[in-house]
Amino acid sequence: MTASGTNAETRFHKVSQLFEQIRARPPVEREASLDALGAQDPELAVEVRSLLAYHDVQGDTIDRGVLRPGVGAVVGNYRIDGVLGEGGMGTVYRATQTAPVQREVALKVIKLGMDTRAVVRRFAAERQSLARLEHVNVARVLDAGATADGRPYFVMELVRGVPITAHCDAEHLDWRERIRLFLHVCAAVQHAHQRGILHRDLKPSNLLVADIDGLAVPKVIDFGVAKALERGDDPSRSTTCGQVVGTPDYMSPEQTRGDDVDTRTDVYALGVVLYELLVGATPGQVHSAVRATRRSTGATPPETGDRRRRSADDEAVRPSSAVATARGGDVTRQVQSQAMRRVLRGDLDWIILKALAREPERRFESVSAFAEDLERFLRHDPVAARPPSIAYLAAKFARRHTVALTAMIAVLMSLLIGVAVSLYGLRVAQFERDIARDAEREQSRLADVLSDQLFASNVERGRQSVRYGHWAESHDLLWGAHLAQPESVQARWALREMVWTQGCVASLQLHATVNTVRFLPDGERVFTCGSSGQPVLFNVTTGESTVLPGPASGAWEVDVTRDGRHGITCDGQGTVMVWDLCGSEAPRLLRQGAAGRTFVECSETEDVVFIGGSDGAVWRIRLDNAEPPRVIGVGASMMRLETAPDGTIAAGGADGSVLLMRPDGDAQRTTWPHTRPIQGLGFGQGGRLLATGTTAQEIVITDTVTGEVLQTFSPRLGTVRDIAFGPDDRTLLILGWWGISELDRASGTVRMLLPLSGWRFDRTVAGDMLAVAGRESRAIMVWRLGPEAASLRGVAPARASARAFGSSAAAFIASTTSGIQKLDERGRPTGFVGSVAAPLARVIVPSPSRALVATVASDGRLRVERTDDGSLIAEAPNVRTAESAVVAFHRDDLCAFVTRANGVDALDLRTGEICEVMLPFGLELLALAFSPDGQTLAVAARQGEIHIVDLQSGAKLKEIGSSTSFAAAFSSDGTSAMFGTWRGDVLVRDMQHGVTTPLRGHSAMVRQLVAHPQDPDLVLSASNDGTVRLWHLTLRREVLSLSPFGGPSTLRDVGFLDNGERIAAVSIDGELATYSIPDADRRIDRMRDAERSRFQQFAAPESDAPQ
Amino acid sequence: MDVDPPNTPASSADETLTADLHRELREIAASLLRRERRDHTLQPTALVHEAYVRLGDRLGEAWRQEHGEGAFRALAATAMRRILVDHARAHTADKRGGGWLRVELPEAMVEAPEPIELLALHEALEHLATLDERKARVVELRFFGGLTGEEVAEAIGVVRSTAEADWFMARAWLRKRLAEHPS
Repeated sequence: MTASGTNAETRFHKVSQLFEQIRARPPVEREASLDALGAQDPELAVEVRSLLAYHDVQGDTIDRGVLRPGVGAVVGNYRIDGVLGEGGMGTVYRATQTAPVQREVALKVIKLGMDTRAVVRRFAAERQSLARLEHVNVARVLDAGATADGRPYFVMELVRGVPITAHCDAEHLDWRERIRLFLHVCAAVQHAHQRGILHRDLKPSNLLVADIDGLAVPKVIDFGVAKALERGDDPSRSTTCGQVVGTPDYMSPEQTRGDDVDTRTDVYALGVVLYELLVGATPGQVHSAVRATRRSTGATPPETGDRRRRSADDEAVRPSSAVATARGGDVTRQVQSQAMRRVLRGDLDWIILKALAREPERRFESVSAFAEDLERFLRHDPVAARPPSIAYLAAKFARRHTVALTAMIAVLMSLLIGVAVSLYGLRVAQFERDIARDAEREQSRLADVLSDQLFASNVERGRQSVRYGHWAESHDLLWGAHLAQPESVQARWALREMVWTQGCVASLQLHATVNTVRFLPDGERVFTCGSSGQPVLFNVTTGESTVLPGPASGAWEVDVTRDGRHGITCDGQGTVMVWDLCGSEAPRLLRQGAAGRTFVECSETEDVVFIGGSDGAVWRIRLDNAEPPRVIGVGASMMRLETAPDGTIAAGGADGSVLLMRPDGDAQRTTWPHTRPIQGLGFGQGGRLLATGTTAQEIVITDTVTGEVLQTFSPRLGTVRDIAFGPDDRTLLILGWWGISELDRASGTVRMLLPLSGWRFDRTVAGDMLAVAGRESRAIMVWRLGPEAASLRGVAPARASARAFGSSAAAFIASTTSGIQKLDERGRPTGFVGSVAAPLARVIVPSPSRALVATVASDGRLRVERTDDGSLIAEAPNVRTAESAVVAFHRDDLCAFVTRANGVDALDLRTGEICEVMLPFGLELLALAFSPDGQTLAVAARQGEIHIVDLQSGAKLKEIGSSTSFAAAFSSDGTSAMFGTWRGDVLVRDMQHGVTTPLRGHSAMVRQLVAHPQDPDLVLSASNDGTVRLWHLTLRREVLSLSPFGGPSTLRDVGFLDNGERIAAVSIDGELATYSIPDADRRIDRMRDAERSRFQQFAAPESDAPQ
Repeated sequence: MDVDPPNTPASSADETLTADLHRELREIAASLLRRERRDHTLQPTALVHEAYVRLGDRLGEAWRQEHGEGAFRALAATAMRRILVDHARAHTADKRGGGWLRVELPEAMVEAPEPIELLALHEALEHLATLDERKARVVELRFFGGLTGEEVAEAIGVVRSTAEADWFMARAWLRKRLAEHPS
């Protein structure tokens, strides 16, 4: 190494050390240090200062590096499908979530400095608040984590859209439409502010406009990302390893300085966006352009050393003036900018400038105030924004001593003129208002049409939320729609669909997230409390809920005493309260809070409450306070606490250890074979067995007496949140991330019971009901377990070749040895239909009343028998056999069938005579249906042919569709004939007008159509896609879709029971599912009052009020 | 507070490994060049992919399990850098699109910047190495190897805060050099 080389090395080292020392200081001290250094060694100071400046650069090539996750890579539960774009902070991918549901998401992998864990931790802290963001215009941040190689990532709702600025330009939206679109964005940001979340990085690339069902829906993305990326250790600055988060043009002065930010920071950013939408450039860009002009004309000396386009000291150029400078060029543009100028001048100028005020106090105090002023402007009402007083401006100008005199006068002049114009503008506005009145009427008519479309769209979105299991969102959308238009058929069916899809017997929606729920010993009521508000006693049978009077501080965890007379709540600070569940005692304080994350468990043997917290100590407190509280054991930082019927207590720790306390007083801390925090604890055999589950998805069952590990399972159900032993301890009920499953201890097989997530659950002592606290869904849901479960009943013998159901939901089955078997609602055989020795029946068709049933066997005979006693009514030979037999009833009088010769004959059930209806047909016949009056026959044949035959005259009306139909039916009033096609469409032919309309929805062949016996508007379809759908003929849309048996190709027979009050479906495996409309309506009625008051509370903006 | 020496070279076994691998890669490169002269975009793709896969094969699963992914990628980083720089050198003259390089690896992607940029960075990095070898290695590991802070610290044998400080200084220095001395 040469001498100069060594010198260079030494110098480099020196610079490095100084750089490191000064960089580690807070920015306020940096200057001081640099100055001190400058006094000693000016050259060194210059170098270090410039290095520090380069340290602050954000997201350049060096930061991004060369390696990143690629297509096909799996990150957590997500599979990367492609790259959406590169942002300043990292890469955004298009990905597919693989579990629990499959859906497309946006995955943003952050390429940062070193502190991944902190980022993920900070995000986890925000997560609860972020989960509360449920708004049409907010793209939710769904998840966060770290990739295998340690980069933090965020998963967001995939929004396929363009930035709002690009959208408005591409669609050539005028100023009014732009403002309207912008107001949606304001609504989204306001929604978040009300839930305590600031965005901090609002800019057009975070305001995407997506096309959803033909509507332009703005979506605000990246909520919460900016906060998580913030470095907490440098409190005076929002930085990421020294980089400033935020985009300079859209950052408010206080953000630039690194001061505290609040809602007005977002107001500022929104102001910049609106400015850009209406003017065509950001205030910064306009400012630069103006400065450039001034510089070239020598009017003002340029400002030095400021990288940012517009320093915090400058007020923005007024939008109306800026419009002239921003859009130059051709004549049409100039004309447009003149028009824009007129629009902007006056109120709109002031609204925007108010949002852009340098001092936060001078801005709108909230986004909703900003939006309200804009709405007033749109309505031609006076606005609240006022121009700054001349005195204020004069004082400001006095400070700007560097501004040339001419420039100052010019600006003052424009301001004065602006004020005058504003006053004049008010009078002009009144005149214009009269002219605009007619235009407004037209607009309100259009608004009605739009609101109808929005209503339908909201209902559809609500239905989609139901499919995804987003209960909170679906509740809001569907109840909102139903309460807004109670007579809407669509909304009502959507609510029924939600009730049936949820499958629970009762649900209670709270105002806040709810963690735990407990059954009272009576097995009928549950005790629960949200994270804010008072506790609630909810009767799951009647649906009644009672709010207990007392302080509304909310609870983290609850429990019920063994006699059911008291409920215990414990909040996030560890304050424990006792509530009287029977009488009218006031709630009393049992223990004042100490640490966070405290758990309570009531003893099952004594009137004692156990409390444990993050310090690991387990306290024992008597309810009657007869002795002072004492510590009975100390374990690791506590994650769960559980008591057993024999008095054993277990506390699960964050390090995977379990503190076991026996009733005889011995506390032992055992190292369980876990290393991750224990979140699930459950006792079996009264206290002898203990099941533990951790965040690492493993479950261990241990003998608490001997300490022996009996069984280990890794069922891959996601983080285990709660565990309970099933009745007689043969099974484990597990609440995991993916849902609630049942694990058979003997075989190790896992069966998913309910695909929904929650925080904790509780079972009744009898084990027949399960209540789940859904945390973010803010709901308590109660299910029935066991063979009486929900609507599915009766798994009948699987070996059968045809199925249908009868008049009282008994399922018929044709089986090889026994003939046609009848079953009851539980799947138990109750008898036979027809002769026991009958050959194998391949087709079973019940009559509409289900009192008769027609069967076709391999001998080619059609038999019609009574279902109650099995007696034969009539027979016919010569039927086209096996699976291709086609049979249709007209009431209980006629039974038509397709003959071997491919004609149609009818069997008169009163006389037993056979008459010919139609001569042999050219094409194979596939479906038959009688009209209600028996005068017309609908016939479907190959090659898409549909025939309507008048039975009196023999006249045939032929139609050819694009897809072949395999099912046919008439509406109950005979006005429509319907056909179900191979492609999945339901064709509806209006008999009067002769018009055929397709109803789309099914994705596979429609195998059966059944008209509602009473309501001529409703028709039920069953398809090979596994769904049963209900169609409304007047609304021309699907109103209900159910998937009773899971996957495709599982349905065999569907129909109505009880005169149309029940929908029933039979599966290929012999399962029967029924859905009772009156039951669903009863539940909806029970929920309505609660929902109505919930919506009224939403209208009150400020408070997240208690119930 | 740290007593880490300024230079911490990789173990000699690793050095031999990399040298062998480099030789092997040169042979592959030569053969590929001979075969596909026209289709420039194919070669470096194949090369980088080959490098990664071969290095994995050469070291074997056991090595990877024992030393961890970070160590593997530390070795791969040097190889990656050499290949990308060679590619950039070959394509600085290429006016039409030979620049932006995107390569699919098993579950990862390499996206190299423009050749000119990459070469400038490479040379700046070489210069940095004469002043402080350890800092240059940090940049190589992060930029070319995609290693995280923890992995870098482990690969070099220093504590995390040292590696972090190295990265900040090296990065700022490189940025300054690239901005003020564009080659």
